[in-house]
Amino acid sequence: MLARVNATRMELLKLKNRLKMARRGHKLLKDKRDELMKVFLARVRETRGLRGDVEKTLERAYRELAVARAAMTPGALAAAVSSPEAEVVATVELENVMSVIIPRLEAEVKGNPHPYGLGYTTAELDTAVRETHAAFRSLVKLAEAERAVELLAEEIEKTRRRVNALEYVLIPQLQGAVRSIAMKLSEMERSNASRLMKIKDIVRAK
Amino acid sequence: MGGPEAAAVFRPLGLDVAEVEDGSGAEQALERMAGGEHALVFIEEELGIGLADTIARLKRRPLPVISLVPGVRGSRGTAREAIRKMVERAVGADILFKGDS
Repeated sequence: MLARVNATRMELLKLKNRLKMARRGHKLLKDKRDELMKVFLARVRETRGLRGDVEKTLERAYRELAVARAAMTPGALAAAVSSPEAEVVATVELENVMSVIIPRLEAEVKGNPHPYGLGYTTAELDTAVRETHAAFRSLVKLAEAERAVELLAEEIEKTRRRVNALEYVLIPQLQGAVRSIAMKLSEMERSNASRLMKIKDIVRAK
Repeated sequence: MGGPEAAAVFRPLGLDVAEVEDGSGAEQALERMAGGEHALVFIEEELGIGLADTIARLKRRPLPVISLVPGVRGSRGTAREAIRKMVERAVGADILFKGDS
């Protein structure tokens, strides 16, 4: 334990430096935690809005699809959507937010999303696909934001633990050690001074 | 990944759709998708609930991003609940969702 250290000036100096370092680390980590929290909460709010949008749009899409399914045979419906003419072009980048690596996703649908003959399908299928298409961009953004929230939450937890360890364990320990050394040193000095005085008395008495 | 309804609306957009009905097939499909070249995997919420363990394991990697989307039976609020839990973990208290949801 830190409390049982040699009471020397060297040790005192070393401990004081460590304490200074710990305080600086603590301040930095605290700033990091606050900043992460800011980003995190912004992202959380973003996911809430997007979730709502996505859910509503997809719900509409499925409702339209239900009508389409009622009007078409399952085979015809499956055949209508079985050979897509569109494709998804996606790019992924990794972004570093306060040392947290967060993926950035971009994706868009290229080409014709209605790959079927208009004569064989109902208008509801068109609407369903169009709604899904509209939801797609939000879906991608939502996936990205939710992933970011997850990663940030982990990092915040880690950082908070470190801040607390410094604040409530390491820094008080160092402070205690510094104080006890300082006290021992001054005690030694006093005893030395009184010894010198005593010796002086003895020498003078001769 | 999802049932036939999800396949019908997502396939025309050019997404790689795995049509699955139940848990066992879904797990294999998810492993295949995560192992392949997909950056982003959408899973229908109702399937995702059964796959929670596999998803948790796959989330240790940065990619793919796995996202739960509401299925044909509407949203169950699983993803929302997950976010709420994460806020609680990070902040130490539920500060955003009090009252609602």
